[in-house]
Amino acid sequence: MRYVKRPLAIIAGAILLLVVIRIAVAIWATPGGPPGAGLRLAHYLWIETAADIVIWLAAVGAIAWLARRAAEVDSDRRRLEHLAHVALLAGGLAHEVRNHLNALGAYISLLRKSAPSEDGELGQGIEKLEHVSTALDELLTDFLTLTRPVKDQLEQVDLAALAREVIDFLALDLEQSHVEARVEAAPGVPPVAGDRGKLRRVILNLLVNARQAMPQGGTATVRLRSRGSQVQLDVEDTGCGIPPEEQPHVFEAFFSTKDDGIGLGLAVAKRTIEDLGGQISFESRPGRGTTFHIALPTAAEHEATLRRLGRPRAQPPEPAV
Amino acid sequence: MPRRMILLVDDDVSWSETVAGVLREAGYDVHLAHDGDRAAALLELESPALVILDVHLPRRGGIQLLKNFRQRNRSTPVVMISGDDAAGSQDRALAEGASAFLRKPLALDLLVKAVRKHVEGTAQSGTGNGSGGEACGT
Repeated sequence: MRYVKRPLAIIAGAILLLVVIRIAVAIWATPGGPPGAGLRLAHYLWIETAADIVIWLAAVGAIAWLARRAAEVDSDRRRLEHLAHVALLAGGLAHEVRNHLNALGAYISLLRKSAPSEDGELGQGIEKLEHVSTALDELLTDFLTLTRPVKDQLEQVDLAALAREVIDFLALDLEQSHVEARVEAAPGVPPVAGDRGKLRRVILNLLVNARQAMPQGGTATVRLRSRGSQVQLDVEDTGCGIPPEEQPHVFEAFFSTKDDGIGLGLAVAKRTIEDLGGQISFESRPGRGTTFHIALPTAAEHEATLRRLGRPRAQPPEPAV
Repeated sequence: MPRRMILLVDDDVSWSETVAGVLREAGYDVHLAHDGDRAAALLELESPALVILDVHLPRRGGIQLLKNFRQRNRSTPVVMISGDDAAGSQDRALAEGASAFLRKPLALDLLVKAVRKHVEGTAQSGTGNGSGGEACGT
């Protein structure tokens, strides 16, 4: 509020002073001069004063808006600094946990050698330990993706081919869930610059989410088109939609409405896309379906940005196949 | 023409026997393994036309087994199966070179369809599995 109060007080004082001066001039001018001249001057001054007030009010509004934005940016910056600090600590902690987990895995293997069969109490206990250890390892892998910096060397990625690869891999599972999946790619969509593995994971996550949103079956469509210097990738489902109260939390880490979900998939997707200079958003209508929108700079735009920044290219683009 | 061999790796013994029965009826020779170590040993000795591999296995996880297998064999199709619906393990399976993924409880007709698609794909392309021994085209 300190950004707002002071300019408001100064502007209000200036307006008041202006009005008083104009009224004083009008009153002073009315008795003298040719007949009616003073009155016309007064009218003119009143109109001019009214116009001034409108202009000043508009200026006040603009300044107040700018001041509020400045306060928001300041708050966002502090929040981001705090999050970056937390991420650094959490990343270090996750690495430490993984080291201990590796040791735990080695001990489980030793135990397994001493267990004569899977069926005894010891064998079953070891099996449970193995499952817990694997689940922890997977959780740490997901979590470390959130805290790991983006690779310097990016490759050219054909998103349509990547989407087809993922759909081909999931085809039987989608068929089992009565979900029809398709890729609709406009001709001539250029490649983007990215980490192929991470982008594949983003598409897979969105398709798995789409299938989970359609327990009675439906259609999942991946659409691709060029938009200026960006490639637009949409993943649309005809599922149950996201309830309005859950929508603000969709990209938050550890937010999940599924019984067996950890809630890192969309947080990792957002991090991946934003690290590549892109944006991810969604629109959802309960009962009608959800569409996730991803916009990523083309590989050519990425190269141009690097040149503008004066950074040498990390590696030449892969030759087109 | 000899029956093509399928290696089915799953720690649920009775479920494996049921699936093996269905695949044998469909014309395939099926070998079974119920833990990761046994499966790894079989993969050293045999040259299956296709592997059906559970993600969660005792002794050695399915993803690790797939990773080791892919270091020496890029062509034999591997269909991953799992009882859970975690996108993370599906992604890792795809990243390590699995051909397809199916969640349990799975429709057996779809499994047979997957086996036919991938085994026939292998036969048509004429690619061997590079591990010596029986070639999948024989």
